[in-house]
Parts: sequence; structure tokens; C-alpha cells
Amino acid sequence: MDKKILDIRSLKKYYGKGENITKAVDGISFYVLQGEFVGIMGPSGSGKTTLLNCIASIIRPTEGEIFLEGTDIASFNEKQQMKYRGSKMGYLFQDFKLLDNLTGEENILMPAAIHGVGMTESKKRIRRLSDYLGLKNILNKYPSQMSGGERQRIAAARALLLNPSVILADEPTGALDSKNARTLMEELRKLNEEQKRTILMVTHNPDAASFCSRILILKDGAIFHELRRKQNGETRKEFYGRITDVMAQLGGGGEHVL
Amino acid sequence: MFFKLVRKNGRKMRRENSIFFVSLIVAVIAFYIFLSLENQDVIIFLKSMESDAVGKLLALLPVFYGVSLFLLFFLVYFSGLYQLGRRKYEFGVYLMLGMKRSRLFLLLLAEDIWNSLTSLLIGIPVAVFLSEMISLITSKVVGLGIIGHHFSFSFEAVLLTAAGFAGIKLVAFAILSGKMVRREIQYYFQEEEETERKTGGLVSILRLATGILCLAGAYSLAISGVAWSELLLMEATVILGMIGIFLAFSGLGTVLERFWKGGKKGLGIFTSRQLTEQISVQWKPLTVASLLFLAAFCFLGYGISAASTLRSQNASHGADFTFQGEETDIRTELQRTGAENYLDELYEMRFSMLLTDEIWEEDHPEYVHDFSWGTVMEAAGELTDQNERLTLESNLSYETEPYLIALSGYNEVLRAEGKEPLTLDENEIALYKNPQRLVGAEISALEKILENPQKIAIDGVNYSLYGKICSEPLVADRIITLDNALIVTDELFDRLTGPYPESYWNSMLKPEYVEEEGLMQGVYTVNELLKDSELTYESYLQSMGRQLFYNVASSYLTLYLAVIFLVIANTVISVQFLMHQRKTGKRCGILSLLGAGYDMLCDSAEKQVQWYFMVPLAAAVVNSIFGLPSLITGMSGSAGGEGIAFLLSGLVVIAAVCVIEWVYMKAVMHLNNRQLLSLIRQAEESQERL
Repeated sequence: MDKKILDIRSLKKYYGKGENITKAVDGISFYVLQGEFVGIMGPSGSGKTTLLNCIASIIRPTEGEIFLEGTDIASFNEKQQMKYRGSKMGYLFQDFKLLDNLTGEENILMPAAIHGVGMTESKKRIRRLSDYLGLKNILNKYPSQMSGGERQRIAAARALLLNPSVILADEPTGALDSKNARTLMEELRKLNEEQKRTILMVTHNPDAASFCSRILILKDGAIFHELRRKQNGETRKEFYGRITDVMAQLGGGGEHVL
Repeated sequence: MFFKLVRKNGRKMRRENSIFFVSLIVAVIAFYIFLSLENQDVIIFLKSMESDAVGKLLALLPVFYGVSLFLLFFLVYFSGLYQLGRRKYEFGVYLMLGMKRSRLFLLLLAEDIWNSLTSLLIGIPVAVFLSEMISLITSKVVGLGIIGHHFSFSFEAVLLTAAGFAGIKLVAFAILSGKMVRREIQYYFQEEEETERKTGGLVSILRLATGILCLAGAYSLAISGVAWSELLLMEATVILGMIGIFLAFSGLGTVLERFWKGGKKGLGIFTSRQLTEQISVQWKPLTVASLLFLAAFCFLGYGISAASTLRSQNASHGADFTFQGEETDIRTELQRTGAENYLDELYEMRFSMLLTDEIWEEDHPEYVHDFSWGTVMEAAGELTDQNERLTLESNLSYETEPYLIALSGYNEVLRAEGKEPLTLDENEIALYKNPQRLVGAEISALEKILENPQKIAIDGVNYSLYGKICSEPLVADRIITLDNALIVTDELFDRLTGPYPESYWNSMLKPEYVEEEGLMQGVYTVNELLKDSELTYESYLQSMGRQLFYNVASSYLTLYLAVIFLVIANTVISVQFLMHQRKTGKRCGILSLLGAGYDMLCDSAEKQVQWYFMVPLAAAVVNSIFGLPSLITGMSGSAGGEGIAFLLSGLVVIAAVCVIEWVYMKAVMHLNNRQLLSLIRQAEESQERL
């Protein structure tokens, strides 16, 4: 049986009190197995980013447990959370979140420096990642000198440097043009398939989502539907079709879709 | 509602921008003390005797006032820029809610007036208190006594302080808010980001190298003394130095970035990048701050050394009064005026010229003597130091008719000073030099020569020279001024005296009276008694007053300027640093997401604060290491005793500056850490909003 990397149990995140309570995440439970590429989709306000931020320890859930490789990170204090951030969990953000005063290489090295990983070992890893992601020509550039796709590749290398248990990606293609978005998704798939990296990605883009092996669709803070890519050779195009159907139903029913 | 908002925002501003607010109060205090100088006891006292000089000093005050206001304008402007930038979002909300731009302008103006009033209300009472304390302490130190002290409150100083501040604040405010309120609303909601300004590495290295070369040129001109020979050369030296420091700073940031990568552990790389970026983006204010630091160091050094001499005003003098005339007339007048009650016994100082020139032989052949410097001249010729040799040889060659001082009178001076009397053998003579005209090279030359027995000859008789140079002041002030003279025994004096011997009668104030009244007050009272007498006399007060005036004026002015410069430089650096941190705050949010905790970020920020302050300070220290010797060379002509005192006061300056800088750094760290925490929270919240 595949190992559970993430195990989310009855996760709740409420804002406000009494009558003004907003249930952003309302008792979600699911798990992510090692080597899975899971997508989270849903309309605006469905709680997908809140869910990802709870997992990423950016916000503290109101209730529930988040097990990362068997450790409940929801109960962590700030110091413990800091240890996990960037090392056990790698992040990919829509706006890349690169430090504009550091070069590409220095940006990638930052988690290693923060978490006290030796430079020699880190440089070795950078060389490997650089070959894999084609970063050779941009390592010495500053983010302002890079294209959107290049920036996101640097961010991906930074997320991968410390071999995190899971990569959390929040709309990673959101700020990219369609060509760069496609390239990035191909790279993420390659990472998932060839290196067995576990990826949890929030997206509203069905095309990006079609690269996933499983998709959780949220509505009003709860899991509304789950889509799995069929084992018997379902193409990405077919999977894309199923995703758009579900999304259309979420938006008011399939009967309105031509 | 409007006024409630004004008060609330004003309070918030004072809390959030405490560095600027405290600096403003310090500036108010310095301003008041400076402007109320006229009311200081010591100045009132000096006015009664050196009214012209004091008048000139007071006439200079408006110039200093103007210069300080001009400099303070930058402090107000930069702080305002920071403060308004911080509140941009809030203003945007007001505008979005329909507040008219004119009303927003009025709101900001009212807040500004409210805060200025608060700083004046806090600053003025503190300033009045400190001004009184300074007045009392100075009076006590210089021996004026504090009995006659009256509380003084200079309404004019308050008005000028308030008007000055109001003026610069209004101008700065008009420029800042004028710019702000004209903007589109969108501007208020845009995040500010500091973009790195990249200059080519080679250009930066060239700039830095040229800057260092210019500085080296300026210092070599200054230390060699060339700069001091002509005003034009001095101007050229200063301009060269300024260009040098500006060029050096303009290239420093990029060069540092190229060669200093910072520690590999933790946030080392980030810290070094933040710092080098900040230096390369903000090199202009940093250079100005560094120059202000340098000026403050020089002023502080000079001011402290001038202030430290205030205490020694009444040291080492053997006459509080010197009278000229017949002894009986003097005694009668002293008795008549009642001054006698305050004075010790009179003693006589006898002087006479040793006539050696042939022209006297016609009228007074019996008074003409042969005089030669004997072995002294030869010994002078053998000195190894060229400067000493030439100075002494040239001085001795002019001294062919030296003045004679009777030993009994000189010993009375020593007794009055509480020193051991001088004992001379029958065939012994002592050299006298005027203490106010001691030239370093000549004194050191004579001291070297007197280490061995020397002889001078008068009328073919050899007299041995006493092994030390005597240099006590002979009269109360300058009724007689002798650069060089020979102290001889009374018998020899009587034998050698010329046809026109001069006699002066010295007297000291009774010690118990000085104890009771203070020296200055004592001399002043007796002076008042003697004012209407027929006597020709002078008092120590003139000498003391003149010296005191120079010292008081220079210490007041230089210390005032030093405080103002330090306050401005520190505030500019602090504000620039905090502004840069705010603009680049997003980076801390990213680092926090990568696992850098608040402590780690604070640690990095604290290192940045330390280095950011250290860079202009270190440049100023290096400049002053080169600058001070050249200042000493220029001012004293040699690195003699005064130079050492100057360097010692330099150490006091370093200690004082270290304390001030430490306080500023701690304040910036505290504010920055608070800002950091809110930035992290903001970053987390904005992530949460997505």
C-alpha cells in the first residue's frame, strides 16, 4: 500500500463569530499518497486557498488535524512550523515570491541557508536541479532580468532543493502566459512521474488541472466531488473534458453547456 | 470628529515615529538654549567687560539660526516623507470614502501643527531647565559664583524657536503633501517597491578608486600644511575631499555587492544583499550623513576641549591686580576706596632693559654692558632638529638687549601661585619666556639645550643658566608684555639696571574672600570699587574674561552645532533605513514562508541596522583620523601639547558618539522589529485573503 504523505482529518477554518461566522473550510477530510499529483479546484470562495494555506501552515485551522508523514502539524507552535516550512514542504506561488535582490542561484539556496543545510551539498543539488529544469543560463540573473516562466522555474527549484515531502502549489500558472504555463505543467508532471514527487496544487484552470492524477473539487468549504484519472489510458484531453463538465455543473448545471 | 482624528493620528504618529519625534524635541531644546545664550550668566557677565566681542557673537546668532534651520529642514522633510509614505493606504481610504483633497490637506496640516505643538510643549520646559542648569554650572566652573543667579526665561528665544520650526515644518509639509494630494487615487493603493539600481561593476570600482585617490590627495594637502597656506588652496582641498567622499560612496554599494557575499549560513546572503542594495540606492543621504558626522566629531572635539579649559581659567596666576605708580599713592587710593580690605599685601615687580647698544653710550655710558649668549648660541647650532635649530638661532640673534626681571618679584609671583620660590646663586641667571607666546619648537630646543650646563656672558663675566625655563605670568593682564627676559638676583639687577627701571605693584585677592565670592565675582567687586579711583591698574578679569569669552563662545557654538549635526545625521539614516525596510518588507514575508522565523529576521535586520549605521560612521571616523591631525597641524603649527589635549578630547568624543549611536541604533532596531512583525502578519494575511 502506498504511504500516506498527507492525511487531513475533519479540517475546519472558520472566520468571525456567532451569526457572522464564515465557514471557509468546513470539515474536509482527504489524504494524499506518496507520488500523487493532486489538484484542488473550485469556484471563488470555495475555500481552496484557505485549505492549502492551512496545510502550508500559513494559517492555523480552527479545528481538525493535518498529518504530514504521520506528524500532526496543525498542533505545531510557531517555532516547529518554521522548521517544516520550506524544508518538509516546498511552495510554488502564483507570484513566484522570489527575493528580487538575490540572484536565481541565491534564491534557490535560501531555504538551505535558513535550515542550516551545508553549502557543498546544496550546490550539488542545485547542479542537478539546474540540469533537470534547464536553469543554467538564469542562475546568475536577478528576477527582474527573467521571464515569468524562468522565475517560476527558479521558484520550483527552490521548492525542490531540500527534497520536501510534498510540494504545495498555489495557482502556479496564474501569472504565466499559456505557453509558459504548459511548459511548467509539463515539468511538474515530469517531476511527479519521474522523480515520484508528491504535489498538491490549487488551480482554477482546467487545463492545468488535467495534468493531475486526482482532483478534489470544493464547494462552500467542503469536498463536492472527486475526479480520478482513469487507469485504462484516459488521455489528458478526455480528462480535461470531464473536469470542465464538473466545473460547469458547479457553475449552474451541465445543461447550459454546449 | 475631525479634531478627534487629528489627536488620534498625532498620538499614533508620535508612537510609531518616536525617533523623529525625540530628535525634534532635542532640536527644540538645542535651539532654545542657543537662542537664549544672551541670558546665560556668563554671557551677561562677559557683556559687561567684552561687550564688543559679545555683541559680535550675538550678532552671529541669526546666521547660525538660519544655517541650523536649513539643515533641520532636511530632517523634517525626510521624516515627513517616511511618515506620509507609511500612511499612504490610510489616505487612499479617506479619499475613497469621499474626503475632499483640501480636507485631507487640512487634516494633515492640523496633525502636523498638533505634533509640533506637542514637541514644543515638551521641549521648551526641558530646554529652560537645561539652559538654567548650564548657566549655573558654567558660572560655578568659571568661578562667577551662583549667588547672583536669576531665573531667566527668554520669551524671544521661545518665539524664535517656535517660528523657526513652524516655518520649516510648513515648507516641508507644503512640498510633501502638495505632491501627495495631487496623485491619482490608485497611487495610494499601490505597493511601493524599491528597485535595485544597477551600475556597472567597473564604473563603480573606478568611482570608488577615484574617490579614495581624491581623499588621499585632500588629506596629503591638509596634513603637509599646504592647504593652510592660502585660502584658495584650502577651498580646493575641501572641494577635493568632498568630491572624493561622494565618489567613494557612489561606488561603494556596488563594489561591496560584488566582493562581499555575506555569510552562507542563515540569512547571511540576504543580510549582505539588503545592506549593499541600500548603500547603493541611498548613497547620497549616506554621504551627507557621513559628512555631518565628520563635522559633528570635529565640533565635538573642539567644543569639549574648549569647555574643559573653562575650569582652568583661574589656574596659575600670581596677580589679580597690577598697579602702576608710586607705592604710597597706590596704598592711599586702595585705603580710600576700601579695596584694601579685599586685597593681600602688595608686592613689587621690577623690570629693566639690559642696555648693550652703543647709542646709549653718549647719554648713559655707565649703563651700557656687554652681553653675549655664550655657549647657548653654540649649543643651538648643534641641535639636530632643523626646525628647532633655525627657530632658536633666529630668535637668539634678535635678543641682543634682553629685559631683566628682579628675582624677588618673580618669587612673589610664585608664592602667590603657591609654588616653591626660585633660588639662584650669585652667578646664576634664569631664562624667562612669556607663557602666552610659547612656540613649541623654541621651547623644546631650549629644554634640550638646558639639559647640559650653559653659560651666558655679561661684561665678560660668565653666568650659568638655570636648568629650567621660567614662564609664570608676571602681571595681572598685559600692562607689560615680555616675550623673553632674564631673571637675575636682586643684587645683579641693581648692578645691571638701566636708567629707566620700571616698577609694577601686584596684589592678590584675599583667599578667604575668593573662597566666599568666587574669583570672578571677587575681582569684579574690587574692580567696581576701583572704577572711580585715580589709579592706573589692570585686573586679572580682563585676561580671564578674554580667554573665557573665546572658550565660552567656541564651546557653546561648536557643541550646539555638533548636537544639531548628530541629530540630523542620525535621523536621516534612521528614516532612510526604516523606509527601505518598509519598501522591501515583502521579502521578509517570503523568507517567513520559507521557514525564517521572526527571531531570524530580527537578527538579520539588527545586523543591517548596525552595518548601515557603521558605514557612514566608519567613513567619518577614518576621515577624522586623517582630518584631525591636519586640523592640529593647521591650528597649532605643531603637534605639541595642545595637539595631545585635542586628541584626548577626541577620545571623549568617541565615547560620547558611541553612546549616542548605540541609543539611536537600539531605537531603530526596536521600531524595525515592530514593523517587521506587522509586515509578516500582513504577508500572512494577504496570503490568507487569496
